[in-house]
Amino acid sequence: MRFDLNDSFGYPVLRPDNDDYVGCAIQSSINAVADADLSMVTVSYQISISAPEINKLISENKVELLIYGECRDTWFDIVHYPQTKDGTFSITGNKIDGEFVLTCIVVAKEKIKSYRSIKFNPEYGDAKFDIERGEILAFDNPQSFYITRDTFRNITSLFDYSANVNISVGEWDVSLDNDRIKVEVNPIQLPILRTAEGTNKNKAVLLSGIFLPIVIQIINEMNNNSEEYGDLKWFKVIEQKRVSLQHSIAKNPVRVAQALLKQPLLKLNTTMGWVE
Amino acid sequence: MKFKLFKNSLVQKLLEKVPENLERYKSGDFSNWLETEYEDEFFEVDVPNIKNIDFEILNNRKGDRVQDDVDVILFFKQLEGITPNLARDPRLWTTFCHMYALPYIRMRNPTVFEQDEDEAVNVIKSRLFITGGGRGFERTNSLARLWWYGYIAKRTDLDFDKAIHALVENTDHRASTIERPTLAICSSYMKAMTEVFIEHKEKDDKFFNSRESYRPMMMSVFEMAGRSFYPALKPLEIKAKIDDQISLHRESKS
Repeated sequence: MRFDLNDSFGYPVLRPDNDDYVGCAIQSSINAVADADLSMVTVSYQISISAPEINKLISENKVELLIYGECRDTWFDIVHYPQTKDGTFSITGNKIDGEFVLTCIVVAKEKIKSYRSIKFNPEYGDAKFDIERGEILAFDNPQSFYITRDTFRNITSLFDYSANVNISVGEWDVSLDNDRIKVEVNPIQLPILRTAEGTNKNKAVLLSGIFLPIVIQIINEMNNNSEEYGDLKWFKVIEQKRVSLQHSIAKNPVRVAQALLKQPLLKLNTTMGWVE
Repeated sequence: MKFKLFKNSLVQKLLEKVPENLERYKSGDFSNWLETEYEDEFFEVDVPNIKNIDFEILNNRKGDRVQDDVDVILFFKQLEGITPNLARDPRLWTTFCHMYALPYIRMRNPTVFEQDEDEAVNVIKSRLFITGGGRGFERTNSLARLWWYGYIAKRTDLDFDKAIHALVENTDHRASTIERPTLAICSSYMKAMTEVFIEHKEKDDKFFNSRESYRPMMMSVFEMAGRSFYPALKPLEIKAKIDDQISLHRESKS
């Protein structure tokens, strides 16, 4: 369930990039990590709220701090009520696939009469507000994580071939503007590529000749243009794979690309009859 | 049970070849052809919770009138044991549609081949493949939609058959819940709204038959969700708020 972050609530709400309150903030640092086989997702959090009246209401049990998680793709939602402002909780992995959004929110547990804070923007003057049960007093920006089985599949599963009459036979181009990576080729080239995928020998050629240069380009784009591509599925899946690579190669796009493609040269070695 | 599914490469090939396979979609069969010609392009997934799926229950349905709710009950109950993330795999539904459920899909889309070829290709792509993101699963693919309707009804923890009838039978109810996932993902809201639908269906309340009164009431419910945080409320509390809105809108009409 998402609400408009910039909407007026009819009373001051503590939130980022908004001056309903001055000189105080709500900050949440949330992380969601899946274990190796995606059987469990662990959410860790640290929350700080510097509005004294809200903290007082939390300690009086009149309002509650909660973390709301939702996954659009699997129609899953969860409300976690933290006992302290830092901690963890777990979710069964098969309930989540794709974007998982976590939001830290403070909600009234009961009707709060004549609420006011010394941190209200002075424009509110001496105004006091009645807050109903279930209404929001504070929230931080939603934080989004990408948890998907694609992370455990070959990176090439993120690629699609598509026909483009403007590209000559023997040439190819790549488009990164959608959730999946599109390799564009001439319509005559397309069935040749499809047939080639069927044998290990030709797969070695495709991995080194098409996929490797694309992944190198992608790593460069991820380093330099994360704002442009950061919301796309391929970006999130590759990012998740990239964090699990050895630190020593993490800054070298050529080495990162080879690692992500499970060393394409090894495929060539195998087809040449080389045995380790 | 082991599901033998298309690899992604086969899904892509079939998608590209819809125009040249039109005749096969109209009156032919895919299962023998694909198993013979594309033997290497299948993979297996073990789904221990499912013992057997009888697609003939759907294939034998008669197309005398649209009954999504009945189809959901027949289909979802057999596949209740699959996980939502498997149900989010386009390969599953593309395989099932092509290999096992063509007669059902033809019955539910009787006019596909009466249209021009481009239109027929588009309908086939939307009904037998997953296109268009979440909508492709929940609204357009002929089988995925039945599963997702069932899953969404089951999440409410209400009587399954009653929930399905209330949510799916009336297209306005469907449009204001299942087709508004941003709000309907909230399980307490879905439970409350579905209970309201069931209650008023059992009372045969005419308020819900009139779009003139129903739609402004639903708009008020959506607006309330911008201020009250529904996930923090119990379904009964949300239902009370919805009931208040129904009373208000009923009074304003009288």
